[in-house]
Parts: sequence; C-alpha cells; structure tokens
Amino acid sequence: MSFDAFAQQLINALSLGSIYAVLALGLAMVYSTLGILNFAYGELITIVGYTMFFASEAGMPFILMAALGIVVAGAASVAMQAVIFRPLRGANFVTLLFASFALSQVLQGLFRQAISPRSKGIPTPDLFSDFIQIGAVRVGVLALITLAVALSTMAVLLLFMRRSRAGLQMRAAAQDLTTARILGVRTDRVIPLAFLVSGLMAGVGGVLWIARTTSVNPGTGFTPILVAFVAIVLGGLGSIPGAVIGAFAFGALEIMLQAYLPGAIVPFQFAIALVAVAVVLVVRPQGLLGHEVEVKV
Amino acid sequence: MTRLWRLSLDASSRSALVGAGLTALLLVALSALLVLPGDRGLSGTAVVLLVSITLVTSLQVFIGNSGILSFGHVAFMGVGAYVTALLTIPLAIRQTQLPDLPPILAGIELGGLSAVLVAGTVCAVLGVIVGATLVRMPVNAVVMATLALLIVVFTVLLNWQSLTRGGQGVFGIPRLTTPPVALGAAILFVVVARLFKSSGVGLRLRASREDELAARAAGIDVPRVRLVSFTLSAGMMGAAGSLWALNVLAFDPDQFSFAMTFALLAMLVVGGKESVLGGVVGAVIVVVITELLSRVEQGVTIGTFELPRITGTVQFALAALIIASLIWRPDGLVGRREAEDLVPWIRKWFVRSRGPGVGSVPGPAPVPAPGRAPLPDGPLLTGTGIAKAFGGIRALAGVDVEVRPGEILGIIGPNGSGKSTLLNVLSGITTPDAGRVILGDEDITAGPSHRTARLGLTRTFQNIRLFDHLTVRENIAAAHGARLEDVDRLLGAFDLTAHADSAADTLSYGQQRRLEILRALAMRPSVMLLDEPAAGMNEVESDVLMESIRAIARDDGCAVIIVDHDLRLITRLCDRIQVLETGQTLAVGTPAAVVADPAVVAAYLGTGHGSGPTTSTAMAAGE
Repeated sequence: MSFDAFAQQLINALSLGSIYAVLALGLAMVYSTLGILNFAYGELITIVGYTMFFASEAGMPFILMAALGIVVAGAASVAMQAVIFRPLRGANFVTLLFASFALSQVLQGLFRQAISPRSKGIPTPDLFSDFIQIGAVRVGVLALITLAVALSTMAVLLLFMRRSRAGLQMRAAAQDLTTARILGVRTDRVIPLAFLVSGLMAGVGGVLWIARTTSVNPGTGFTPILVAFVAIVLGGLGSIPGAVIGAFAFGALEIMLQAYLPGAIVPFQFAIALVAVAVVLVVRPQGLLGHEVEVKV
Repeated sequence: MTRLWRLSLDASSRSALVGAGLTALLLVALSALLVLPGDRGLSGTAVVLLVSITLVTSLQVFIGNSGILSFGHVAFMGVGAYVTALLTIPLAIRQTQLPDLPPILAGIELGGLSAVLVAGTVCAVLGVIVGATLVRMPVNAVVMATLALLIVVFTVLLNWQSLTRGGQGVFGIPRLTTPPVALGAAILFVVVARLFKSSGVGLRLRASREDELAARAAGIDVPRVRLVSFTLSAGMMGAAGSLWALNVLAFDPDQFSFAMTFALLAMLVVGGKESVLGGVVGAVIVVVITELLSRVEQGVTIGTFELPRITGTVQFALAALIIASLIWRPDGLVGRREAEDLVPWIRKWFVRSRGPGVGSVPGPAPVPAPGRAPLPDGPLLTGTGIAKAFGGIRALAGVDVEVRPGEILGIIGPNGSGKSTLLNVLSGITTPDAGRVILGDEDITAGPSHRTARLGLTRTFQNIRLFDHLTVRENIAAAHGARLEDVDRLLGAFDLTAHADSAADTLSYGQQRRLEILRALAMRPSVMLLDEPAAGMNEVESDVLMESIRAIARDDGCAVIIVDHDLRLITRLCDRIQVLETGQTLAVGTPAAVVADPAVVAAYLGTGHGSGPTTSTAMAAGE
C-alpha cells in the first residue's frame, strides 16, 4: 500500500468522519442538555433530502436548495419538540425514546404515502465529482468541501456555545437543568433552542450526506442516525467532545474497511465496523471519553 | 408428590401460577372463539395472534423486568426463523433453493419440535455472547447497542447468500404451527415468563429496574441478573421465531427489521410492559388492528362507500396508538397488574388453601450470613489514607477511619466536607484515587458495591432509595441473602407487617426510612452505614430510631457508621465521633471530647461563641 493511496483514503475518512461528527453533535446536544435521545433525528435528514428534491424541481440552484434544507430541518426539529416531547415533559428516558421511535415511523409512513416509496434523485453540481491533484495524491473536491463545511460548522457551534449568552445557558442547563432554572435560565426558551441547534446541525449534516448519496428515500435517515448513535456511545454517552471523536473514529473505520477488506466481505463492512465498536466497548464500557461523575445518593 | 409441590412453591410462585393459569384460560377462550367457527381466515388469525404472544412474551422477559429497552430482539427471531428454515425445508426443495449449503445442513431434516428447540438453543447461546457485552455498558448505551445488533444480524442474513439466499428469501417450510400447537406454545411461554418474573432472579432484576444503585448496594449482581434474563429472553425469542417461521412458510430478511420491532414494541407499550398479561393484551389489540386495517388496505366497500386503498395504515395506527398510550396510559392498559390481581378473590382462595408458607416470598435458599467473618477484637472496617477528587474538586484528601464490632461511629461535618463521598468509598460505590479499605481481612477498596454488601457491609442512602414499585416484602426479599423466615420477624420488629404487600412508594416518609434500614439489616451485615437516617424525623421518631440502632449494635455486634446533622442524636448515640472538614479529619474521639475540641467549635461556630453540647441546635442549624 503506497503512501499516496493511504493519504487519499485518509482524506476520505476525515471527510466522512466530519459529516458523522456534525450529525452526532446535533444528537448529542439534545441528549446532554435534556437527556433525550431523539430517534426521529434521522427523519430530519430525510426531510433535508426531500426539501432539496422539491427545491431542485422548482429550479433552485444547489446553494439555495442546501440553505432551504437546513432551515426546514431546524424548523422541523423545533416542531418535533412541540408535538412530541413537550406533552411528555417529565417522562423518563425510555418513554421518550419510544415516543420518538413512533414519530420516526409516522414520518417514514408519511414520506412513503405522500411522496413515494422509491428513491428520488437529487442533482448536485458537476464540481462535486471533480478531483484535484495535490502532488501525487488525487483528492475529491466533494471531500474537501465537506471537510471545510463540517469543520467550520463545528467552529461556529463552539463559538456559539462558548461566547454567546444563549450558549452559556445551554451549557448550564446541560450541567444541571434544575439549578439552571433556579438561577433564572428559562427552560421554555432553552429547550426549543436546543432542538433548533440540533435541527440545524442535522440540516448541515444532512446536506453533506445528500451531496454524497445524491438521492433520498423514506429510509434515508436511518444510516446516519445509527452512525450518530454509535458515535456518541463510542465516544462516551454525554460527552460532546466524545461524540466528535467517536464520529471521526467510526468514519475512519468504515473507510479503511472499505479500502482494505477482501471483495467478498465488503457487503459485511458496516456490520464488521459495528462489531469492532462493540469490541472497543467491551474493553471500555463507558466509551472513549466517558468519565466518572460524582454519584448523587 | 403433594408435599414436594408445597415445598418447592412458595406463595408468590403459586400466585404467579394462578395468574398464568388465568391468562391461559383467556388464551383458550380467544382461540376457541376464533377457531371453532371453522373459518380458515379466522383460525389463521388465531395462529398469528398466538405466535405474536410467544414473541411479545419473550421480549417482556427482558424489557419488562430489566426496564431496558431493546431494539435488537427481532434479530434473535430472525436467527430462529432461518435456523428453522434450514432444518425443516424438505431436502429436495432445499437442494434447488440453496445448492451451496454446507453438507451437514444439506442432509438434515428435522421435525417441528426439534427445530424449535434447536432454534431456541442457538439463540440462547448467541444471547449469552451478546448479552455479556451489553450488560457491562451504561443502560442508555445498551439501547443503542441493541439497535446495532439488529443491523449486524440483518446485514448478515441479507449477505450470507449460501445460507439464506439473501433478499430472495426462503420458502417451502412445512406448516407445523397448527392452532393447537400455537395455543400450547403460547401458554407455555406465558407460564415461563410469569414464573421467571416471580423467581429470585426476576425479583432482583426488577429491583435493579427500580433503582440500580440501591440494588447493587443490596448485594445484587446487576450485570449477572441482566445477563440471565437476556439469555432466557433471546432463547425464547429464537423459539418463537421458529414457531413463526413454521406458520408463515416463506420469508426474507426484511421481515426482521423495523416494522416487526415496531409492532412488538407497540404490543408491549400499549398493553403494559411490566406485566406478562400486558404483553398478551397488547398482542390482542395490535393483531386485531393489523388484521382489520390490512383488510382496509386491500380496499373495502362499506354500503355504498368504497374506501380508497391506503398502504401503510397499520404503521400509522400503531404509531398513533403508541403515542396516545404514552401520553394517557404510560404504564399500559393493564399497568403493573397481572391476571391474578384482577381477580383477587381467586388468588386469596388459592393461596390460603395451600396451608403453611402463606406470605412467604421468593429468595435464595436459607444460607448462613454471607461471608460474615467471626468478630475480631481489633477494628472490623479500616479505611486508610482515602483520597478522591472529582475533576478539580478534592472531596477527600487522605482520611483514615475505623470501626470496631458493636461500636457506633458518628461522622459529622459541614456540607461538602466529604461525608457522603466517604460513605460511597467505603460501600464500594465510588473507587478512591488513593487509600485502602479493609473489611475483616478482605480488601474492598475497589468494590464493586454488590461484593462489598455480600461481604457484610450494607448501607442506607441520604435520599431514600427503595424499589418503589415493588412491595415492602419484595424490597427486603430482593436483598442478597435475605432469609424467608427473617423477613416476617423484621417486618414485625419495625412495625411494617400491615404494609407487607403494599408498594414501597405508598408508604409514609418515616416508614420508608425504616424499610430502607430493614433492607440493609436483612443481609445481616457486620457493618452498617446509615446516611442521615433521622433526616425529617421528629424527636419521638428519632428516639425510637436511636433505640433500634443501639439494639443492632449491641445485640448483633454490628458496627454502625452514622452520618447525621442532628447533633443531639449523634452525641447521645455514638461511642465515637469523627469530624470532617474539606475532606480531612478535623477531630476524632468521644462525643464529649469532640464537642469540646476548640478546632471543632471554631469550624462550626467561628470563635467567640459558647461551646459544649448545649449548642447542638445552633450547630445543626449551622449546617
């Protein structure tokens, strides 16, 4: 295996990992703030896909399709909060997971019923399939764009969480929702805000995912949400940096398996990646960055 | 024979059998209703319903008792179904479908019962392997891991062409799940699930569902009981998948993905996931809705109206049903009740007519107190140089502590002085950064807390931690090593006999405090840690409590470490007092010496105030 080929795969791995990281961050955001695992998060990505599909039918350029997709995902996430999670406020983890699982099934049924059970193609700019030659390494333009967009999205999120007042309130709520509330953080604003940020992350991640897969069907959201789940468990449930690291690790694992597995086993690639993660979790059940918190007894 | 029957079944297993019997009657009645008219469609529905009951009951064994959601069980159903297909499809058909089968599979043709048993065994083995990984992970992570399990197995079924034909699916399985077979299987599954729920493992598993930390502190090896139920549940699911295959006759991997998972979980949620009867009721509702709607989907004419064909209605209806029931009946239609709870007079009659043993509870066989060392002369429990930091906060910075048999040691100190962390380290809940904890001659520094409890160190918690939805009696019986004959005696001694069969969360605050102490006592500890046992009690109540604690120390030679803010209680009760401040020992000695210690007085009151025991209220208020 030459260095050049390896470098090429490395960039692919980083690129895929960065999509996963954006997606995992959106999911982890709501989990660490509110303790909710939103199973219907995957459907936000499907919604991005359909929004982009209809926007392209309407003749919009790609950049507008993408922007519209992100906005709609943000709005849909806030709507999910209002429709499903608010009526069940105070319910436990399992109940909320059940409810969002049911919601994801409703949405999938809706897409199948109202749009089509078949895949719809989404046109992407020709530029995306070009390659650039850097020395001996051929790098896909899409991989580079993906990496740039994902990294800048994460940077913006970091700035928002660190520097803005709303970000501070969300971090406070993540530490201790009750205390944050006592100290004047308004949960009726922080909770929808957390869902909005989560939806926007799903939006950006979704656009990048769709640009890669160039189609959408009712089940589009499944693989991304599964990977996001795996990433945050691998990184350490509840740890935001863990989610990012878990996502990059899983992306790298997937690309490397794809590149180096013998042909006959390639269909099992995803399953092998999941089993590998399970092996890591046998050694470190709390995940890569999972850490001990003081037990409140 | 009768004697054996009586000996081996206590009241709770008997009432479980009554419940299972009643549920079985319900199944017989339902099947009769559907099969006797002789309509082929209806008797087909009966088989679908009964097979669904075997599936949902298998799922309930794990989810209902452990409280952990699993999306992965349908994977076991799939494995069970494919194992069955590979063993029962007639050899000639098998040869044309799957020419590349390994010789051993190409040559065996089994009957229905053997196929079901093999499928169950294969899945139980798979269940042990998968479960051993799962039970080590944090609970919320397990849910996601089960999802991954579903995907891994689905991928394998889809791509292992030589064994499964991939997406084309397999066909030609003989129809062996006839209505009587399905009925027998459903009854058997219900009986097994119901007996498991009432068994010792089932009880301890339910305790861990209510409060994992408290369960560990009560000596329950939580990962182990979870693994047992996961394995049983996986094996049952495999057998149920086999029965399913012997009814549908042809299938492909798509049938073992989300739609099936969703339908089974809907049954559990709608009926009541903590109850075996709930699963049955949920299965009836979901199967009826599915059958009706699938007729609608094929287009139905009602009078002059012709309804349009709508695909996916089942999915919508189930989702709506789940969401509605989560909002309005989060515990499901039957809640936590079982069949025998719905017909209380039958249970009373049955249980009473069985003579002695009434009111006893399941639990391990009588054994000597676990690991209790003979009382040594020196210290029983010794902690040396215990240090623990959380992030940058040093909760404990090198604390020594020791207590002798029969001694009562009080630990006081301001909030944040490290009292609770010290108790958590001693009881094995928190592993210290430095230092050692020795109990008798065992090193218990690294816990885990259930081992510590089994070696004879038990505890109560500052914020009462009971198994809320278990009865008072079950709360005690769940504790490791609790002996049947002790439970009634303890209930009497602590004035809780009248409430023995009430759920713990219905007790008053004072009763809950007492029950928690009782649970710790039932393990017959050599050391007991009490974290603010008198919190919220008035003087009379705390006097009664004090007397009980004295008796525990005096009569059983049990060493007691007690943390409390009530200095009146601490100074009167304790042989020695240890004062903590900012994670270090400020003073240790007899109550009189400690209360007079200038450093203690300064820490509590600032210098310049009076000193002595009379300031106890002020000191307590200073907390």
